[in-house]
Amino acid sequence: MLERLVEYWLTSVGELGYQVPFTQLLMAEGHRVLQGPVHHPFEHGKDIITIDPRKRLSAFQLKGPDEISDLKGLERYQGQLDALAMAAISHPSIGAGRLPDRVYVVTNGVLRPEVRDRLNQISAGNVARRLPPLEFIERDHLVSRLLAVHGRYLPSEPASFRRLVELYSDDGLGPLPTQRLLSFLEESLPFTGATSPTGVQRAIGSAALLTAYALRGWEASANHLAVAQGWLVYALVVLRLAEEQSAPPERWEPSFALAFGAARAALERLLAEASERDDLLVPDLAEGAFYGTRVLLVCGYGSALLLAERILGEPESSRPALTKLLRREVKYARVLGESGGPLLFAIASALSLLESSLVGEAVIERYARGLLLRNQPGAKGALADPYHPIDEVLARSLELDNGEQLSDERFDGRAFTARAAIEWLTRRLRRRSVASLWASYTLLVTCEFVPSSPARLLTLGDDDGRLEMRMPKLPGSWRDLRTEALQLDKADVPAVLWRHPEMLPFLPLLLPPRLTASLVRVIDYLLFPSGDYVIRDSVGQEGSEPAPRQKRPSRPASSRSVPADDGRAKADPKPAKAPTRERK
Amino acid sequence: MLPDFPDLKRRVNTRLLRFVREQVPIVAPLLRDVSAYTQHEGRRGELTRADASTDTTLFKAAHFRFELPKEEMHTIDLASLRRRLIELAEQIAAHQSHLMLTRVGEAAAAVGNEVNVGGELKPEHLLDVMRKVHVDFDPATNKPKPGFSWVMHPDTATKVIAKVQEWEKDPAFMAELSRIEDQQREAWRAREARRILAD
Repeated sequence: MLERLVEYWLTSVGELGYQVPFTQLLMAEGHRVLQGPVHHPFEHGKDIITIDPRKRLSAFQLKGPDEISDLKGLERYQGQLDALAMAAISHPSIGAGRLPDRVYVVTNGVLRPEVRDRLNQISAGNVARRLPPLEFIERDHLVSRLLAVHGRYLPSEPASFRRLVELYSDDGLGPLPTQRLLSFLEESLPFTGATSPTGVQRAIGSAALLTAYALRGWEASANHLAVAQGWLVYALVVLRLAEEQSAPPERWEPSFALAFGAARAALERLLAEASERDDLLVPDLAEGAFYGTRVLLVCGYGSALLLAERILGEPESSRPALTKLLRREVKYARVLGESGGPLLFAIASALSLLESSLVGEAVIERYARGLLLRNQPGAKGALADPYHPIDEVLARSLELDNGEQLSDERFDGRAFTARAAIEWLTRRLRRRSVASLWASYTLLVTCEFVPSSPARLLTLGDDDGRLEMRMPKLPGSWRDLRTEALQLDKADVPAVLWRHPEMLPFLPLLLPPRLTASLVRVIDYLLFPSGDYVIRDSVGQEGSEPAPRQKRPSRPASSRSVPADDGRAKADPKPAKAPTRERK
Repeated sequence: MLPDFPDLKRRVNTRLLRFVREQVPIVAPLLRDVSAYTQHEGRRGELTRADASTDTTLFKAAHFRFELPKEEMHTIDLASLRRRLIELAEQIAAHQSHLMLTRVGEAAAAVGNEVNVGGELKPEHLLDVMRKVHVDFDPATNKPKPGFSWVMHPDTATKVIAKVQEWEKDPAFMAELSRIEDQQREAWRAREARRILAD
């Protein structure tokens, strides 16, 4: 049964669908991965580079099921096969001019006998020319190796197995049920009790494989957003496990990096497709009811990718496509519930980076105004709280059956994302805007969930946490508001997120109730660093200074060249820099 | 096993439970204007009011009994079942009303916002109550917002209503009532004027 499941999965996905599990397999077999799956002009035939357990430098070229199954196909890739063996490895940890010791061509298809023979002959020719021998790995090898390494970690509980099969058998044309995937992965990993670092590592490796199985349909349908969400959910679970088990980074970081890389690649494909098109239409009679939500999702996740690149200080490869996409589409974005709020925050931050701070501020101001108006006490049609995912609020707006659950709940008189929006504007000195919103803001109770531990920020359903409900002060104080908006406690996010802050822009997108004022402060601080922040470390993590890793730091909010709307000229004499004030 | 329809049963059960919830404010109109929200996560809620006072909500489980004998299960249809479920709604409503009045009473007593009649109800007692209650006004009409309720036992209500109708014939009583409403309106205006962002 398991063998058939793995085999069918391998048959149905392309090269991109199995590259992460294959890399994970290599890691489980003792390889040290130097370069994860890459596809760019500088790869020179080497998708993956590793050092195998016998210290041999190994390079892998991955191919889809039909790409090299016959000679005609193989000959199309002859150049890549030559480069795989003949081109020196270009990697900072490897000396210049070094050839690999072993090279492999990997396919999830079945090779014809003549192709195997050709590959054997190429290998013999390589050896004769003192080049590395060329070996090949095909579907049957992959199945047996995957089962040997990860087979025992497949879910044995019927309920968990059923969840996997349900995900596995999905056609992947619709949205990914991220909460179901999250619950399934959480069930599969050792969150209860202490687990040895080796146990954690093995479980994480197997969960990567399970994620790949679960994403089969979405991968096969080239549903890039769903694939990205799937790998981000996996990355989130890995971070939580690492935090809760205090696992050494070398046990989980390679898997995290692999998943984050896969998510990033999927989002790049999404952005490329979305920006190359004239619009984001998927023609249908009822398309108009869905378009705004699709725009919100595509622009929101695309924006989060840019924010992650900015936080990492890496080249912002998403910038051209995202700029084009946002300019063309953002006006159509539609927020139907507070679960859409985090996407809008990501869009606003991206617009601040791509266009101007004012453009981003306009987005949040419009959102805050709409939310405060819609959710006034007694108002009909208040925006649903962020515990109701986008597809649920969409169903509610369309008066469809699965939105019925929402009709049992009241949402007027309170809001979960209002405080974050008010603070966002406050940090940008939009005093007049905030003042104009204040009266309606004071009529709401702002709600935010405070998890019982930092690790619980990375999941939902924390029984030991508490819901914090606040009624804004009467009258409000701009000074107090600004002080609060610039206070940051390192303990508000788990240590693993300070280690991998690139995950922060995606966290509230995956878990909308986790978008709180304090989380947005951290994200804002990393994206728009300013000396105005007061950093506190309530768990005493001195020495783990989370200075932003940006190469091109933005100016602090208070030193913008645009006039602030409080009527006073704003010019911060301090240059943009990492936090200078630490309070213990 | 015997053939069954678990999915349909799950759906109809969901609808029946919703029906019970919808009946609660109908059988207990007092609850109609009380906002009820769902807390999706956590067993505790902490409220910080505008004046910085705080309150903690700890959720308590409540149990209600509803019995459907096997004999009835053979034939009962949805319409009959709904009629029976109103009994359940009444139990829930009674529990919620009691809980709410207890909490309100405790909160009022804690800050001394209560009027002790001591014996016979007199006009000054009623006027005192009117001075102490929190009243919001409709900005469009300047009239008190609807939703103000008096809660009392029906026997008490019969006596009190008769007395109040008698007092309402007294111009001095009505003038004082009007003066209190003006004071409440001013207090409301002052409160609303504080919904600003100062320095």
